[in-house]
Amino acid sequence: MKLTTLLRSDWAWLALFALLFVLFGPLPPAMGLGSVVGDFGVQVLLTIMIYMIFGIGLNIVIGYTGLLDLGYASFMAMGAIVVAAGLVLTQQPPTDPLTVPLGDLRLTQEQRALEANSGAGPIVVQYRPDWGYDVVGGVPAAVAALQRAEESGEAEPTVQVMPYAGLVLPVGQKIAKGTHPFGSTGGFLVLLLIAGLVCAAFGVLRGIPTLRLTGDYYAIVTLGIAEIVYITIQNEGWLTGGAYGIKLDGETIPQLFGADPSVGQGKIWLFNFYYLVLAALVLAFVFCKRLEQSRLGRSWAAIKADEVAAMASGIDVKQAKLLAFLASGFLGGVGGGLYALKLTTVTHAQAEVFESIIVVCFLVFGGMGTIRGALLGAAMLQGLAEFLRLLADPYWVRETFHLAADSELSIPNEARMLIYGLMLVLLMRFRPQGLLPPRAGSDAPSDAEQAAWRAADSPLFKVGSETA
Amino acid sequence: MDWGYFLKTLCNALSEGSVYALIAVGYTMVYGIIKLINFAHGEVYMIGAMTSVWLFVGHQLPLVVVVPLCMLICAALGLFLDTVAYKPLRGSTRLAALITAIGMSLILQGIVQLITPNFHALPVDTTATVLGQDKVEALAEPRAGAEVVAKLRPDQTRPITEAGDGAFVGVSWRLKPGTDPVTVWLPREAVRIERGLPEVLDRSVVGEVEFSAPSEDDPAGVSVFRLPFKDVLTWITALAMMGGLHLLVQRTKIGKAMRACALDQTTAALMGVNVNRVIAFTFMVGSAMAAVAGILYSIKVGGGIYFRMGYYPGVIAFAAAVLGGIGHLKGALLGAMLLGFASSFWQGYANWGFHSLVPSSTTKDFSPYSFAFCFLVMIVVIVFRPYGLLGRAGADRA
Repeated sequence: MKLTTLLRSDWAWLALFALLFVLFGPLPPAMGLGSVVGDFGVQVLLTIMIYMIFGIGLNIVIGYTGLLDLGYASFMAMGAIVVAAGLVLTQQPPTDPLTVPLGDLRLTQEQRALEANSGAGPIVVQYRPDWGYDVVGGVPAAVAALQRAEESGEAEPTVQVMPYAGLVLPVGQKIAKGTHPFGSTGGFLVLLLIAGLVCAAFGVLRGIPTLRLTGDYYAIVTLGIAEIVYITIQNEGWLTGGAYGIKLDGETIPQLFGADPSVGQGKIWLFNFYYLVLAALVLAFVFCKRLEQSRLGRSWAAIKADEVAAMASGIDVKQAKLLAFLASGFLGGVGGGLYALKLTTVTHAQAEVFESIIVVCFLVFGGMGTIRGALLGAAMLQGLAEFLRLLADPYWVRETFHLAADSELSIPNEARMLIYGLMLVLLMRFRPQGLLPPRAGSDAPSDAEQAAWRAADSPLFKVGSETA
Repeated sequence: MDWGYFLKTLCNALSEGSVYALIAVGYTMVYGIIKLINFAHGEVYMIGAMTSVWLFVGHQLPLVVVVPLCMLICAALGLFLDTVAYKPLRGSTRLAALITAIGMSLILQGIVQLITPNFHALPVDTTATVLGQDKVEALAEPRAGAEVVAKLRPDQTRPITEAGDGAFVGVSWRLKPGTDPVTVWLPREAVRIERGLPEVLDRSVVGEVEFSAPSEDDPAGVSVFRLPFKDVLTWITALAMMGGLHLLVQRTKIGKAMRACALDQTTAALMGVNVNRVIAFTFMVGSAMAAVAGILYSIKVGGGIYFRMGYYPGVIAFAAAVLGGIGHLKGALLGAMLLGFASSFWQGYANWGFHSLVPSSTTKDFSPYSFAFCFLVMIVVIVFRPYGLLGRAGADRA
């Protein structure tokens, strides 16, 4: 097979990237779970894979249907928030008491001054690393226990306490997770599905008023809706944590295939998570590839080429567009849900316009309308972004390039925005079709065909040249 | 009804609308001629505000020098944008041009961020910074030996609220967290003073009205409305600029060429109009107007001058242009005023309205949703009346 044919095959690109991800990803447990590229490299690869899912999802709307969507970050953020909030809010208060050293209980001056009462109900505590257990409930009982221990003079007195809901436990202790409905692999997959469905529903809901819009009016309306979502996420703290975001910790992060990060199985958990994301990426790819080649995919191509002509040819444009929003939203939600576990802190920054524009950049860079373009764009640009993040650290630059010990040379992190902007402008100027544009000949007539028509003086060609 | 508060909100609404209107004309003229949402226009406004603060506060130049200089700088920036980014793409798709505009917006933001990495906001207040090694005692009254109310550590900076008699300056100081800042007095030799906006612009008042506002706590309460000079200046400048622009478009030769290009570029070119020059001129005029908007904003608000300040006003001004009917100057003014009113009155009255309608929501603050409300207005207009309030049905709708 010729190289150019391979370059134009989405499957070949997927195979290449999947191979790279397996090669550089964490090694299986039998080989020590390490990675060729180190821990930081694995995190970068995870980010790239998740952004590839975003790229594939957005490509359905931008690439297939030809509508410039500037609000994809809403889906990414909503997926992440559904998963994170789902994990945090559904956590049940644990029912098993915990035995902790009495000396680890931290009482404030006011609490110590309270009257002791050993029958005052359970002592409820909240654990803080490097500090101990803050007593949040049953203070009189705690004071009574302290007094009793002082009188009896035990060597290492212990006390029975109840952990406060949603608390962080010291490594090695876990009881809260058993009561978590989404704490298992299956539960997490269900939650991921819910995130996808919520975002798909939001995509359809958002799509209904924008059905008649095309071009820059569609772009600006999606931008406006994304801003409303952003402002809402920022201000509805009861669900999204407001400016602080939602933090996932050892107790809320679900077990994956039996590995639990809160009991020192973090490496196995990361290995499982890595391959879960890779599987999601491959599934998303297959899903989109099948869609592209289906009747629906051809409808989208027709709408992209000419909406009026598509309608005249009997395509249900509204339905086809809504299905595009639905599929795109679903992938955004699932990708966002996975991103929540990778980030562990989900804030409103996920819903910023710049996030949407980053994913648009992937598609523009790789070639709009092709999955391989989305894959390549995500890999190169996200890789570049992570490299820039490293370059922003003067210590790393000094060590890597063997500079003088007092060198403060670094590229500020802010340069990322500038570089993305420059790239968009230069690409539009010199290669508007992107690095891997759609194959000519599948829908547009090839040069040879055009030459043949020209020679035959075909009326078809004349019409084409008039409208072009 | 607190009429003083109402008039204050009204005054803010008019000023906000004036600023939006000056930005919106740039969008509407460019869109009218080359059908491009010039995303970088908000950044032109941002750079206008930044240069004005830099010249006006940093270099203490007079306003009559700052305004033309900023307009010139921004006009040059507009010309640069058109020549470098948009002109090469005249023949390509509108999507390509839109993406280029987004790219230029990111580039301008990135450059400004790199130039000004350390300050999130340029200082606009006249400030006093405490010098020396020791804490300085802040007094309750401007005389030696007065009661000491607070101690300021060295290198603390506070906005000056009253100039005093020479030996003391009054600074704004928050005595307890959660309370409003009060004026306390520092000896002048203990502080370094950095000049901000001139007093006459910052604080002078055109007139004041008193209303009786009886409440349950205070039956004889009055609410005072002071009309600030800077707001009046904003309205007059915006009105004069819009009027001048109207005359330019309607009465001059280049204005006629602009209208011709908006109607039909090919025919205009056939009639001997240099279309590229007209487009470049449109960009320059629009950018100069955005510069004035930036100056007015920095005088009016006096804070929040940083690299991303252009984004929200830019998008809202575009919404205003669409609301009024894109391509219409009067429409831009109307749309901008409507959105300015929507935003200001939402900020002023949303909490009051929601809390009296839904009694259980009294702890929730609804005022941050003012921009969301503006975006909602924009979306509704684009979806249901894409030709705008003053536009004709059936006109080109993107």
